Amino acid sequence: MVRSAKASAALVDELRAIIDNQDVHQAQSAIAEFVARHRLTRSDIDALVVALAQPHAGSDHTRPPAATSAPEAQATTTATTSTSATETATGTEPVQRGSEPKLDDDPPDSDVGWMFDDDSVPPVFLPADDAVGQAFEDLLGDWTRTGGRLTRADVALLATRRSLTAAQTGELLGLLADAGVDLQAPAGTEPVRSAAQGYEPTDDTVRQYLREIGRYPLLNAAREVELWSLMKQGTAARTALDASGPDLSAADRRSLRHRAIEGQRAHTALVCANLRLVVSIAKARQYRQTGVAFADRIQDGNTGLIHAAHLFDGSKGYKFSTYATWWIKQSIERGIGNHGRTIRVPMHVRERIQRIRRATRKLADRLGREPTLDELADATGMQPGRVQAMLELGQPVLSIDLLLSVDGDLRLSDVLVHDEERDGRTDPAAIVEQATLRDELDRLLRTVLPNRAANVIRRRFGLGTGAEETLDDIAADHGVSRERIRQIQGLAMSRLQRSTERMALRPYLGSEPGHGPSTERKPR
Amino acid sequence: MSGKVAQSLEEACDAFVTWLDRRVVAAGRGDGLDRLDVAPSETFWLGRLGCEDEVRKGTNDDRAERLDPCAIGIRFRPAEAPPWSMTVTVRARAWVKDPKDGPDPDRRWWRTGPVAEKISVVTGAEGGTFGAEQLRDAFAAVGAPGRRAEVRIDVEDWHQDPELVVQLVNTSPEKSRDRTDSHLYETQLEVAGLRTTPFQLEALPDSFRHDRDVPAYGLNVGVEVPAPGVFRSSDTTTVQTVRPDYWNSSRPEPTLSFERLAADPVPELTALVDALEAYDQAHWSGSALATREAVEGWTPGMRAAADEAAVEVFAELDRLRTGLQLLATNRHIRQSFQLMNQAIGWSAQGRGYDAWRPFQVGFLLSAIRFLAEPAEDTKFVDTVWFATGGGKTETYLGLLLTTAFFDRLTGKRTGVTAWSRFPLRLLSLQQTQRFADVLAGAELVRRDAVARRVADVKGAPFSLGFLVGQAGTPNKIVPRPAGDEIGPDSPGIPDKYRVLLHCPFCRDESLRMKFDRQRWKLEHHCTNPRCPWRRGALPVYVVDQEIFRFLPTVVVGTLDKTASIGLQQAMRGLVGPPLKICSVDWHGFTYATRAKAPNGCLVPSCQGALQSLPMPADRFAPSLRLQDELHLLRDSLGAVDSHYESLLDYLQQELSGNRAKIVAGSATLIGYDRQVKVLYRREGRVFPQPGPRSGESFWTVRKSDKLRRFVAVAPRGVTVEHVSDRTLDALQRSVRRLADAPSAVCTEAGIDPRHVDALLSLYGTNVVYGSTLHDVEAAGRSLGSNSTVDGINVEQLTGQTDFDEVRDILERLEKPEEEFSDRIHVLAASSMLSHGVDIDRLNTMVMLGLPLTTAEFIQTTARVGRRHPGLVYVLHKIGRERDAQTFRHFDKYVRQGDRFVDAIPITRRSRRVLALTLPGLVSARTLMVHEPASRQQLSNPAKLHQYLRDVDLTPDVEAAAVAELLGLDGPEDSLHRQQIVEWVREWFAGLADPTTTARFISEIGQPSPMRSLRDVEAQAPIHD
Repeated sequence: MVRSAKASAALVDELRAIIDNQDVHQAQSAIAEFVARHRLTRSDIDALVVALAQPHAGSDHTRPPAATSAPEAQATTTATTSTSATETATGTEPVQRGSEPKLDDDPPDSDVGWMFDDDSVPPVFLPADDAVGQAFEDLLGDWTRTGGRLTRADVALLATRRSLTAAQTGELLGLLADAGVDLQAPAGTEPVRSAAQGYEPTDDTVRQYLREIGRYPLLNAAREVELWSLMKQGTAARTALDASGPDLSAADRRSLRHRAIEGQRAHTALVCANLRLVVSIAKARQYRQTGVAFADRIQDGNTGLIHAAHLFDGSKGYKFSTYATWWIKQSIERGIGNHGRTIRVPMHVRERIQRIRRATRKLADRLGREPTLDELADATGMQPGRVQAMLELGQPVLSIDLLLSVDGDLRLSDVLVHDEERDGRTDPAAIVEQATLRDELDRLLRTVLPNRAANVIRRRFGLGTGAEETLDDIAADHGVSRERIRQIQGLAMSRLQRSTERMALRPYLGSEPGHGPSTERKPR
Repeated sequence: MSGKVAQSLEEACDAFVTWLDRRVVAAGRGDGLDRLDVAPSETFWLGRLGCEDEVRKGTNDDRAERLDPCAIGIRFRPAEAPPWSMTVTVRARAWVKDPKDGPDPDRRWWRTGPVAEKISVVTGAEGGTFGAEQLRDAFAAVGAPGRRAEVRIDVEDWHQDPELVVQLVNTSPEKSRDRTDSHLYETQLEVAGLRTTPFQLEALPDSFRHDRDVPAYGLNVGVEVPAPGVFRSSDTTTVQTVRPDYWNSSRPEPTLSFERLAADPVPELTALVDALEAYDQAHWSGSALATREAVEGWTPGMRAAADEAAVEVFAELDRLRTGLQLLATNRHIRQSFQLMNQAIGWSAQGRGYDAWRPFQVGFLLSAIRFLAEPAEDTKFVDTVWFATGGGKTETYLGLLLTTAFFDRLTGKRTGVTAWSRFPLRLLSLQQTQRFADVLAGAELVRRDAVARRVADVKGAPFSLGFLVGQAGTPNKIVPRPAGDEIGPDSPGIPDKYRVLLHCPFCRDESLRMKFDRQRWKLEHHCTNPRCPWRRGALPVYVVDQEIFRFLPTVVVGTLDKTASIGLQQAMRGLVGPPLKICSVDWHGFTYATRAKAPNGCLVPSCQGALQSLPMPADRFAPSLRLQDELHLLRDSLGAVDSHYESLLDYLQQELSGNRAKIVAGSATLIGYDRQVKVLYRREGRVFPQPGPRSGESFWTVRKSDKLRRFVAVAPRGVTVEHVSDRTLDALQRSVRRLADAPSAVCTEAGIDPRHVDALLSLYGTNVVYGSTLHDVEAAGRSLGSNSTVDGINVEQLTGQTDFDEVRDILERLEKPEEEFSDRIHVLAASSMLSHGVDIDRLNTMVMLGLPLTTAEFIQTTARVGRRHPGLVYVLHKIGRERDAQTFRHFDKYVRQGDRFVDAIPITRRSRRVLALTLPGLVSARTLMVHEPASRQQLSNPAKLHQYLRDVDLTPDVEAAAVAELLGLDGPEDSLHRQQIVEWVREWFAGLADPTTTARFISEIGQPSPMRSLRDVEAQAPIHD
């Protein structure tokens, strides 16, 4: 550290000699000369003063040795004591700008000595050269000017704006502490209102939640930027902490940890203050009939909010809500996409369905009737087949136990019946034919194909069970890859096509109206 | 330069300028070139003549003919009756193109030998043509058969006086397709043997001071008179002006050095005033004038004018006597005058001068009476009218420092002494630096005087405030900026707002900027450990609010800022006392309380208490208001400003019970009295009074040193832009030749080789001046593509150039780079250059067309040749009527330039302007008069309304006050008064409106108070 080097013993001794040997008036000019000669900056002086004060800790701790004349001291005291930070006024006076003149004759001038400084030469302070020194001077200036109203957030903000590293920020905090600056805690991270009076036990958790989050005050733009910088400092500190080796001093470690925790708190504060924003978005009309409960939408939105808080950049100059709204919406919509339907469809498919729905509505309004498939295809730019598929996907899912009559005795399951059972109620000839077809098929598979291939084909087309199975499922049972099953199927199919045995099945084709299409369908 | 005394730098400069001019003219005419690869008609712009047929074929108007003329001529007024006889000498050359298989196929154009024919002419009143055959044969003889020309003589009758026009016309047949160029080149016409009487220049009124004789007028050319009775055409008109000498008396010149006057001013100044008296008696007494009347044949009108002038001259003499008397008898005035001299002396060290010019002291003497009798003397506006470059600024500064010291001596320990305003947005940084330097000198002198107890000048250090629009420096700095506000961590802070070029105390250039958060100040720091200031930040304030907080001794700024008086209550500090002072050090004066300044202190989060002012309240108002470039306060700007000036006067009277003295500087005297009357409602007074003859007075006399060489160019056949490029090209090539082959050039031009480096520096940078932004940009751009010299560095200096860029360019100009190739070679500038840019290295200029006003021409050309002989090419846009007119009498235009300046159009009775200024006037009255009187905060409409009701102030009372403030109380102003009443009534109605959404008073009423005096331009054209 440049400063501590400069505040070397030699300088301290020299300064002490000057102060001890001279009377007040001479001391002022001598100090001025001393400062100019060593080209000291104001922060250098402060460091010197701290160093100088240490051996005499008991005697002269409240007033630095480069003491001032009475008027200025009074002024400073009035300035500081008028604020709540009374501690600082009595603790240390770190920023005496050296000697102000004592005004001799002119009574009206006596309290504005800084303006009429004919008689003495106050020391020259050069601005500090390095980033930390400058930041320190600036913060010290703010602290003094505002009468001690300097928060940790202010420090974080400055550090972030000036892109100080975690180590530099630590150094800065150290300097401030040495100078006796007592940083106030950032205000307003806690809920301001207490829990509702006369707590009523209610089972409505949403209402309870709403009451709960209402206690967090909203933030203004400046405060958001503060929190952002605290978070940023916290992240930097956390990174530094994680990367640090064993040689980190305990104090530094403590400081870093402190800042990391502060960052987390700032994050919490930012999130908490915006919980209400999530609610206002989640209750929007378009999300109502989506199949996700209000409470769940809030929860989804909150995840988005937390994410947004992590990514927020306060230097851009926008309100956090502007930024977070996007994430919250996205998160709620994701939730709806994932959980809103009994059968999940992929996100992009969902979007496509929605597009078709919108087009349908629009066209219906314009045409006064339901649009045809082709019209929809034109309007959406999709293939008609795809539109049809999407429309089918868009059908609502019905419960098998859906009541079909007002009396409550007919359910959907009563109407829907098994294939097998339906067979039993039809023409006996068909039943026989069906049975022989099955036998023929079975025989064909057994004679033409090896065991495994026959099995694959059976399962793939649901022969005998009516349930077609996927390649994946079959592959899993056979312990081979999906692709391998496809190959097996392909080989089997070509073998079947080539085999002469298949001719035996030809008579079944087209013979019965009910079965025609299903048997003719080409396997996919 | 063998056998001669060592050549001085001035002589070398003069020789070099002559050489440069020769080279440029040669480039324009084609002298010394034998072959060319391009058609000569596309590159030469001087000396050429198109062929008559071709010109006739085109549109038949004067303009086209001027653009590529087929004739040159001279117009005479013959002294005798016809017949007239004369000898006309014609000189010309032609260019011929070889066939493809010629001797030099790459450069097929070659120049013929010269034709020089003497043609004897005898003509009667009907005129005629002469020498056609003789010239045809001569052209055939030099190898250009087919070229023809003739001398044509027209006799015109002008008010019964015959005028003779002798022309050389190119009568060659039209360009045939094959090879030839029908132009003639290097043409010249010389007429001898004709007795003539001079013309009287009609453009100017007759005056006892001026000579209006013009021997002959040129047609498309200038006219030289190489010997009596011989008239010769010249391609350019060259006018050489000379530097004035500042002592014109047979008596010995008194020693006016700063040192001497600081010691004891009275004896030397007595000698000065005595010499003036002697001069005035000799030249202005009744008998002296009577003699001249008889000798020079004055008309009675001229004599009356001379008598009037004599009265003014003797009044001026009386003023100087009074000033001298005061200096001898009034201790405070003498002391401040002496201290001022000490201070100016200090700040002049190392700048090459150590004494006043007589007229500078003369002005100071004539003006200091206002210190003794302010009430009496503030009735007059004193205007300094010096030739540009004469040291006007120094003179102001002298008066300013005298006043500052006088203020301190008489108990004004702090506060603004002078508010100095410039009409341009970018008051130059150099100008500001001069103010700062002089104030620094004064501060050191003051401190020394206090320490040695020689004078009681205790008080705040002399300081400088820089008050310009938001574009230059911030209005305020806020802790948490929103919108376009500026905070301590905004980008570019604090370095962006560095105003000083160097430390005014030690001239060290390593200044550092800093924003001090404790004091809330934007500071300049000098880093030189030996700087004599040694008190931390330099006493310079650039943020508006800091100016209000600290009320620096001198505030320099732009005129526009005056408008803030209707918006910003803290402007009060510039017309009267602040309210209180903050108890915290360096927070400064306080004003009315506002939401952001709950105790009135302008420092954010100030914790201080208020204390009473450290000085009697009536001493705070400025003693002086300076207005530089007064002539620019014209048209709408002048009208608007006149209202605001009245407002300032009124407020100062209300708040402090006195008026500020107004001192102005102007470039023109035409219509000056009326301008001052309109602007300030005070009497105008000019110093110095013009002398008995043009260019000569007690204060100045022409001496032999060269000042500027003006060269008027009327480009023929090519565009002005082309000529500008080619001229700059020729200048740069010549300068580079000096760098590359110094000895050759020195022999050629007759220069002592010792001066080569100085000449390179002094003439290496050319200014190209365009009167429109478009011209400037085009000039800057085309130079790169259209020159034969590589590596020309072009910079632009216009109103669009950024603040810090201007600073860098000026710095580079002032301290050129070591290597010639790194320097700025061409500076493309707009009128931004015309005011206050003061760089000795700018000595060559190319003007693209005449500026719109003569005043601008004078101002602009004064930027070159400030110390050393300058060279100005004025490229006329000859198609324009005005340029053509000026080209005709260019000599008089330059020499009697100030007579060509237009009178200043200005009125304060424009009702449109009144509509614009009214809101500001009423608002200012609210902020500065009503609010303090109410002892509460009147910042919102409801409160103000309540208060006005309480004190029973009706709209009519308010309107009457405003009308009185503006002096609109005559019978002819009843319409204006009506307008005021109507507006104020509406405003009151707005205040009383309970449904108003306005949160601030400035939101009531239409339009809002002006934010800048320049707003007027966009909003309302002025018709009356």
